Amino acid sequence: MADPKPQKIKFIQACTPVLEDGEYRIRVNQTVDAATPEKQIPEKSQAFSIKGPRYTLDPGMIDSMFPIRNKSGKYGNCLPHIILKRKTLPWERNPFGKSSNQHAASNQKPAEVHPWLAVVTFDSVEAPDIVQSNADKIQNPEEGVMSGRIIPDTYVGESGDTRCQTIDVPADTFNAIMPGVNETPFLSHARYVDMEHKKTDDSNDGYFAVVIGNRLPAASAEGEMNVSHLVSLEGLCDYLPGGKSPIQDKNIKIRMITLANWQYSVISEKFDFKELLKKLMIKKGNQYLPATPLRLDPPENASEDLKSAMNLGYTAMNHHIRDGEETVSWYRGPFLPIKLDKKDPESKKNADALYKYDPETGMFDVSYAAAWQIGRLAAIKNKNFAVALFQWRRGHNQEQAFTQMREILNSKLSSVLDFDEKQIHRFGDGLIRKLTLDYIHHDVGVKLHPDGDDHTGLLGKCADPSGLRKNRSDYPGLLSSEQLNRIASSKQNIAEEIVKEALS
Amino acid sequence: MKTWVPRKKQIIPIQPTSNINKDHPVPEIVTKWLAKLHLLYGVPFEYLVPDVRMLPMDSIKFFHVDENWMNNLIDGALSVGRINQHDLQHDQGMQNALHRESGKEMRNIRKRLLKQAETNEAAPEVRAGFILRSEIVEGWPGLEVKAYAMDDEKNMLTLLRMERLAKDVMICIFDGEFKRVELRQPAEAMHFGLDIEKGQFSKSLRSTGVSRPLGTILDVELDAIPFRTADRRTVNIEKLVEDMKTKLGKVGELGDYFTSAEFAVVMVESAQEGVFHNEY
Repeated sequence: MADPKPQKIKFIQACTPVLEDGEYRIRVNQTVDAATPEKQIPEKSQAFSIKGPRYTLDPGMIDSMFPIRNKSGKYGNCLPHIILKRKTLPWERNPFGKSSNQHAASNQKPAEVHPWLAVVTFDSVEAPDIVQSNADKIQNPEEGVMSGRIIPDTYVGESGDTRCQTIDVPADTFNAIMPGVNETPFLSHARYVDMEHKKTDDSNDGYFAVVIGNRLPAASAEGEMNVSHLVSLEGLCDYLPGGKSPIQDKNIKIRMITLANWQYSVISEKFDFKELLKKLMIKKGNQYLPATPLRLDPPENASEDLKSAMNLGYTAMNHHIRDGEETVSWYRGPFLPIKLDKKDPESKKNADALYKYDPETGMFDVSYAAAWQIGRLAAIKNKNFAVALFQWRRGHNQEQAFTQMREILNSKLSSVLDFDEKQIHRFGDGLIRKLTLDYIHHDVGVKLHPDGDDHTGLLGKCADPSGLRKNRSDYPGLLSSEQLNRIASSKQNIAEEIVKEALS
Repeated sequence: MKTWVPRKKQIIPIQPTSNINKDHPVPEIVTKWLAKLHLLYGVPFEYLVPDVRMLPMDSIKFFHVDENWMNNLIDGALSVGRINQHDLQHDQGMQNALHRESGKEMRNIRKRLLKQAETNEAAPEVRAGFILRSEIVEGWPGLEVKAYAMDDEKNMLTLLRMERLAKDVMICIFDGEFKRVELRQPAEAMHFGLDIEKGQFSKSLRSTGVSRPLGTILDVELDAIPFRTADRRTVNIEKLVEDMKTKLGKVGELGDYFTSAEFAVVMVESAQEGVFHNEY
C-alpha cells in the first residue's frame, strides 16, 4: 500500500494482513556446495503463531457503530455498520478454514477476499438471546445445533474453556438474513480518513476497517428495537446462502460467536441529512440560499420606519428604565443581516453614554449600551480577569507616567548636568527617587531659575511643608547649596554622590 | 509647620500613548479572556438573538458581526476598575493596541481546542458567521463546516468558533465575510443507505472515479433495489452489485474492478452535503 496522499477519504478493498492468524513454522536451511557434502548444516525450524481476536473482541478496537448504540432515529434506509480501529481485522482470519490460503491466491488481481466478520441485524421478534458460552460449545454443539466447529488453538492459549458469547439462530432466519458467501467480500472494506480536520487521539493513524450489514433495520412509528451483531463467520461459509451446503433442515439452529452487538431504535421516518438540509434552504436558480436573514419580518401593516428598523435587524424590546418607568426601546445584537462600517473603539465612562435617542420616534437604541453593560458584567464576574486588568492598568499607568517624567527630566537636566539616560533611570527607585524628586524640585530648580524665588522648582512651584528649605545647611542630612553644586559638576554616579553627600 | 500656607500642586497630565510599554505587557489572562469575549463566549444567548422568532426550527441564519457592538462589549469589560478620568484616557489610548493583542488570540482559541500549533496572525478585520437551528446539530455532532470568501473552493476562511449552544442550536464565526458555506457529514461516519421516497427504495449512484471525481453523484438512479426476502429488508447484495455494474457501465463509470471499495463508495448515503450561497 502506497502512502496515502493528502486527501479526504480513501476506500480500500481490503487491508489483508501479511499473515493470517494461526500457527506457522519457519524453516531455515542452507545448502553448501563445497566438496564436503557430509558437512551439510542441519535444518532449523521454529514454530510461531499469530494470535488475533477470535472468540472475543476488545471493545477498544471498535471505533464506532451506526446506528449509534441505544439511540433512536429514522434509520430505516440505512445499512447498519461497524467501524473498527484495526484496518486488517476483517481479514485476519480465514472463514473457510486453514486449508485455503485465499490471500496468496488473490495477489494477482483484486478479486474477492472473504472477511471472517459480518454484521447481522435482527428485529425485536427475531433477536436471539446472547448466551455466555465457551469454545467447547462451538466445537461440539449439542443435538439440533450447528456451528462453525472451530477448534481452539491451544498454541496461543485457547482451550475449550475460552469464554465467548454466542447466539443461536433458527435456520429459516439464518437463511433469510445472513449475507451470501459471494456477498461478504463486498461488505467489508478499509478506509483512510484524513485526520487533519477532526479531533484525533493517538490510537489511530487514519486507517479504519468497516463491516457493513446487508439488511435494513425494522422500523415503526413508535420506534422498533433492533439489534445488530458483529459475528464470526469462521467455519460457517459453506452454510451461508449461496454456499456449498446451504441449510435445508428447518428445525436446527445455527450457533454463531457474537463479537460485538448494539441495540438501537428505528423510527419509520427518514432521518436524512439531505432532507433536514432541504428544510433550511430555498432554491434560487441553481443555488441554495438560507431561507431568510437573521431578522424579524415586519408585520404587513407596519409603518415605513418600523419596517426599515426591522430590516436593519432591530427588535423592539421592553425597557425598564432606571427610575422605574417602562418603555420600549430598539435593540439589536452583534449579529446583523447587514454590514456596518467599523469605527475605531472608544472608551466610555458608563453604558448610558451609549444610549442613542431618536427624537422622531422618541425611542432609544440601547444596543451598544447593552453590549457595554454585558461586557462589564462579564468582566466583573471573572475575578481573575478583573484583577489582572486592574493591576496591569495601574502598573502600566505608573510606568507611562514615569517614562514621561524621565523624558521631561532628561530634556531639562541635560542642559545643566551631564546625564546620560542610564543615570537618569537609576533615579527610578525608592529612596533615590524621593531624593531625586526633592533635589529636582527644590535645588536644581533654583539653579535653573536663579531669579525665581525658592519655591519655583523645576517642575513648578513646590510646597515647603517643613519650612526648612531656606536654612537647609543648618540641618544635618540635608544637602547644602555647595554640596549640590559639587554633585552637579561631578562626573561620578549622581545617585551615589547624593547619598555620599547626604551621609557626610 | 506652616500648615496655613496653601499647598500648591503641579499636575503634569500624562499624555495617553497608544503603545503598550514593553516592560508591562498585557497579561495573558487578560488577552485570552478578551479573545473569548471577542467570540462572544459568555454572552447570554438572548442578547445574541433577542427574539426567538428570529431563529425558528429548521433555519440557518447568516450574519455579519457588528464590530462596533463588539468594541463596546470589549470596552465594557475594560471599564472594570476604571476609576478616574486618567484611567479613561489611558484606556482610550490603549484601545487599539488591546484589540490588536486580544484579536490575535481569537485565532488560537480553536487551535488550542484542536491541539494545533498557535499562530501569531493579525486579528481579523471583519467577521461573519451563521446560527443553525436544526436536528442536524443533534444528529451529527461531528458536522464539518467550511466557508469560502468567494463562490469557489479556493479561499477557505478560518473557523474561529464553532459551538453547540443548545441541543439543536449551533453557532459558527469565521474570520471574514463569506459567499459560500458547506455543511458536511463527518467523513468517517458516512452511512450506507438507500434513498427512500414514498416507501420505495432507490439509490442514486456515485462515480467510482473512472471518468469523474470519486464520489460525484451521478444522474443515474437504481430504481428497483433487489431484496432477498419478502419483508424487503435483506438486500440481495449480489444482485445489487450486478445492477450497479450495469448502470455504471452505461455511463462509463465501471473500471477494471468492482470490489468492496467501489461498492462502499456507491453505497454511501448520497448528498450528505449542503452548499449555501450568501447573498446578504
